[in-house]
Amino acid sequence: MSHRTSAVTSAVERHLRFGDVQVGDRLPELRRVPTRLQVYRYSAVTWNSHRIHFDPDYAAAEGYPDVLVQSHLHGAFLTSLCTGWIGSAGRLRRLAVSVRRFAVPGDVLTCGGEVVGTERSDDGLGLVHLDLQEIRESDDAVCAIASATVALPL
Amino acid sequence: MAVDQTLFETIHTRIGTQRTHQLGEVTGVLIRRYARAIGETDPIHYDTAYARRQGYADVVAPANLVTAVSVWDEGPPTEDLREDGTPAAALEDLAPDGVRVMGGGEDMEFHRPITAGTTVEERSTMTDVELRAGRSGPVIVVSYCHEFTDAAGRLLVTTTRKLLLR
Repeated sequence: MSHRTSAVTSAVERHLRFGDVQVGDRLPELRRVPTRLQVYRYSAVTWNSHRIHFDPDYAAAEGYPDVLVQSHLHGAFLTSLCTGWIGSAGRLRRLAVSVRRFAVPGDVLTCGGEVVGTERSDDGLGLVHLDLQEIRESDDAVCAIASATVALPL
Repeated sequence: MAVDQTLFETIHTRIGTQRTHQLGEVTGVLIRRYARAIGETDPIHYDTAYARRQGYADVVAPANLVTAVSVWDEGPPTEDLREDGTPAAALEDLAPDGVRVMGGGEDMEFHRPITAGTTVEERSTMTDVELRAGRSGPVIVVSYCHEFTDAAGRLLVTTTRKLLLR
């Protein structure tokens, strides 16, 4: 690719290959700090009208300190963790997410993961299996765990 | 109405129920807005020319987009929403007012990338229901399988999802 428009473009054009990856490798961490504004826009774009995500009074009535980060937004952060790591030549094949603890705007969420398995697939690609976590920085609470599989060129 | 044996039995009779929804077209603006909302900066979600150079027909949806959209049409009028703001129909009328609904995890398989202009159909099947003793009372866990396909019937995404009713 000769046409590079920005640092961001260059970063995602990194080509991770199957041979570059070993069991035990750590993914570069992805830090996300959801704000009320982000949670609002996520509800808006997904047409999710649940009050728990935008109405602090409603959230308080359910016993929460603030509006809640959507479970799919946790999933989106973990998606970005994977796709950012593999770059443009790889594909995310599977992501199984389980949200364990709620998160609220202002929480610093660090997504990380580790390679737990590698195998060749039938269609001539390399499959890499990952264990992922999203951890809240303030108290080390595990907000979400996930397992993922990505396909990489050999 | 509360989460109890009666509600569990009502829901249990619906195992195997299948529904098909025409979700319509996943547009470029939906993809770009979704990417913006999740904080993505990868131009594959924003820049059609860039996406084409990478071999795609158009900008590519972040992987979990179609599973994350709550309501694909306009939804019901405000007065027909549940107390918590959600449309009753989205829960297939399973959860009466007063029953809290939460997502309980999701296992997604991505078969092919979804690019702008793809018309998507969703087939949802209720696959299981369980009544469990939770920390703060009984919980009903309803499992669904969702299959997203394009207009040619090609599989895009399959997902199994659990809904928790408390």
